[in-house]
Amino acid sequence: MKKWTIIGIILMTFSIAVNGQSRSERRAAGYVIDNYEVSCMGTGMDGTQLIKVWGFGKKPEDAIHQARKNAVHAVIFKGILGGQPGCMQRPLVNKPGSEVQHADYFNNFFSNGGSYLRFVSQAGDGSVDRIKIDKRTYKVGVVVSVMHAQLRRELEAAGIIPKLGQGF
Amino acid sequence: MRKLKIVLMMMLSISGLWASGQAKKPTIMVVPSDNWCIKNGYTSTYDEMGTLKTLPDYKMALQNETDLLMTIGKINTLMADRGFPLVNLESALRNMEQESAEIAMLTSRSGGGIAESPIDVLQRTANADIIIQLTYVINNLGPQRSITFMLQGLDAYTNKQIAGAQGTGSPSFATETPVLLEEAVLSHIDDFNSRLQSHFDDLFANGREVACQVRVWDTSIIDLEEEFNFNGENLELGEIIEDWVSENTVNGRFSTTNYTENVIRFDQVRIPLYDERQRAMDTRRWIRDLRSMLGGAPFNQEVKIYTRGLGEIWLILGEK
Repeated sequence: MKKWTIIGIILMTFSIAVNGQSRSERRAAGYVIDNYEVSCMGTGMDGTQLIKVWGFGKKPEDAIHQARKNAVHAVIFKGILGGQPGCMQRPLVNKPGSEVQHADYFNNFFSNGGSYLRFVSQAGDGSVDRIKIDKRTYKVGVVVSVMHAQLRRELEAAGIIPKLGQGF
Repeated sequence: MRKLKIVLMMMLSISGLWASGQAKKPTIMVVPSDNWCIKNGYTSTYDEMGTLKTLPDYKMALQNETDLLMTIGKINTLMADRGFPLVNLESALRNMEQESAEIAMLTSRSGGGIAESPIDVLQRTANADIIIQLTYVINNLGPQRSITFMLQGLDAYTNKQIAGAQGTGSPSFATETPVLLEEAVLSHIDDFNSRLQSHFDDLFANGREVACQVRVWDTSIIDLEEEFNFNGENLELGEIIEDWVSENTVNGRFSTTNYTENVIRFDQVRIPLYDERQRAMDTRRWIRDLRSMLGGAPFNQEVKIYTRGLGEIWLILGEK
């Protein structure tokens, strides 16, 4: 019995060593919406781009939802800098502080089941890269197609970004 | 009567607001770059006083290169989708030829022809305020092909690059050139437009950037170093003009890049987009007040205004 307890303690220690990320480290790995991984997979049809994006969640399904949200967020606020050529390197919203200025709009836009879903769809055969980080967390990578042209029109209509040449 | 006055005032203010809504819109045209034209053999050479000059031959390029035509067409379509239609190079060239023929043929009842000075002929070129210069190269690495694509947005008057997008696409084994080009346009146009929008934002915030030159006819009896007593100060004419430019630019932003007795060149001149009556401003309207000032005492000079598109203006002293 004592032997099994010792083995248990050793295994637990090992597990902590492997998954011993502190809360802040986990946040840095992509728990927060601003710190996710995203890379370009190429240009899609007119006005779309293919992106591989990662999301986190308690269940793989939650992580996929988060990944989709992250994909749209990246196109709007970050630009896609890594990966293959063919994606927009500049974000749709360039004005500093725009996310805070239009917080009401974006909170509603990115809410669960919000209108961000109209601009993102799963690309390819739907296969996902799934990593179990700890007992309660999955990290999932999916390839999605983001309709950035439609997204831009939506943001123009909402008055978040100006139309090209607005004022002329 | 009082009600009528109120209604009239409201109508006037509404029409004023409506009139102030639009600034002068720059024209944009996509052209193949000189580099592309020379590499692909679409040039014409002429002898300019003993020196051979090579110029791109856009007409020949458009007539022979379907890929080029398709790429320009795709960019034009995407820009039109964004609500900013471009001037089409091929149509502009055709229109210019047609116009030349019509000017040559048109006569009045008494047999008079259309008046056209050599400068009118020179100015009758396919031009735009912003030129999008297009360059592409097909790279071959064994059986793989890729495309290096470059778009440069150049301000025709300040010669500044105001927008740009460039890059090399992923290598491919089987993709045809038109497909590679279309993909390149789709990959780069949004980044390009984003930078173009930043330029427009700057223009609305800090005024339109133009260039201005003040010159003197060789028949003029005065030059720009002639001194005048103006507003209680003895100043050279050039300095008085410089002060006027400073007072009539947005935040006094301009640079005097050249100052001699015969020519003053002002660069990076930021003119407001609207005048004090909220009408859209252009360079000619902007400089009219300076012409009026120089026409009055103590200068009493006749002045010619010569415009070069939306962004450059010359003021020539001495006569019209």
